[in-house]
Amino acid sequence: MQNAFLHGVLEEEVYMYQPPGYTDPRHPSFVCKLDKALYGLKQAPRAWYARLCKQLVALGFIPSKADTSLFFYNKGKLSVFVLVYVDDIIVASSSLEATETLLKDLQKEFALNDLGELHYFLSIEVKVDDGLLLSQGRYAADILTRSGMTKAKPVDTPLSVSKKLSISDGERLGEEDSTRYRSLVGALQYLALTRPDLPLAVNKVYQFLHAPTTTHWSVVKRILRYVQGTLGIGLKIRRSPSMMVSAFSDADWAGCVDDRRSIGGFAVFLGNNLISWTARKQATVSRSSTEAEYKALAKATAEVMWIQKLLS
Amino acid sequence: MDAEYQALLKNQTWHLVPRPKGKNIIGCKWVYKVKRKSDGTIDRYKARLVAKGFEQRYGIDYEDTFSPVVKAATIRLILSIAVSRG
Repeated sequence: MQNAFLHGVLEEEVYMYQPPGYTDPRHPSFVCKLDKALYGLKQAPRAWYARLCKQLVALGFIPSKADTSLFFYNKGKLSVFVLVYVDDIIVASSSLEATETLLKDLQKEFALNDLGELHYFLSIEVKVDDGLLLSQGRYAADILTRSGMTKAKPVDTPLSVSKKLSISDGERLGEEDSTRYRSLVGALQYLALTRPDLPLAVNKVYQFLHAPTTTHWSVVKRILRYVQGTLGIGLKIRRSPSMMVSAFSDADWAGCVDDRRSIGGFAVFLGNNLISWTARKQATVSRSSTEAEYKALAKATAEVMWIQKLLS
Repeated sequence: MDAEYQALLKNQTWHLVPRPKGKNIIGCKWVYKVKRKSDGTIDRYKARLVAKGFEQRYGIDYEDTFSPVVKAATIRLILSIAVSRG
């Protein structure tokens, strides 16, 4: 979508000085009362979303109750899904014709470019072969370049199992290195979009963003070395005969040595495709491993309910 | 820059009014970008007018904000449905 935010219609009264270099010679003291949104305005993304949403609803689409960025259209055998990521739009449809009609309808209102088949979006590369392979190899390689780890020796696992990390391990990093730590850990978190093997390790180092130390830094380096050895891997989506939603959960009781809270995680499948996963510290302390397991199970159940709602 | 300015006028982004009393007036500036082709050569120069949104005050100049960001699980879910249905 080109100039997406400029399409948004403003509800609020917003006044702006005339643009530098383009003052109206007849009314130099006048100001601009904005009718449409401009880049930089706080409400610009919201105004854009409202405009796009209105247009899609007018075309017969229904916004999903479970994810505001998902719209669907069902009529008999035909179904079309629209996913919105600010100004990137992905259309999944059972018929090519329906997709083309939708694009034509939207083109009447907005300036948009059809990029054709989905092969790259949000740093995710999509390969079509017997299903889809989602990977972020290019993004991963960028992270390694940024961290100067392109020539590092690869390791087989992202995290050492023997040593538990604590907030007090090692020496505090300086201001500059701390910033680097935060930036790299954030990038690794984004890499987990197609990598269920990373969240546990990344969540560990995420706990120390506010006060990273030399020990934490070496753990991040280990994750990077693991990424270095696994650049090509990604998430495979295969044709699935079943649409059953199934979930698996687990917990590591008192997994955090600093506050004795547990780490819980789950993986949710649609048929045989993994679609959702997480590994994170639980919000409250558990007094038994069973309690920690139940909490993880409850989280997994909530996710399944959300996915069912998304599908309905 | 002229092209961008003309586009904004054509889009009827604003109309000129006398300066109102007691209203917050925010600034704006031009942001310049060099667009390059994939081989690194210069494609074109791009100018975009951006409003200084940080001069807006919450609750007075704007209330709700929202950005449509799709959840990763939703993308994977829709892609698996698409693959399975063929």
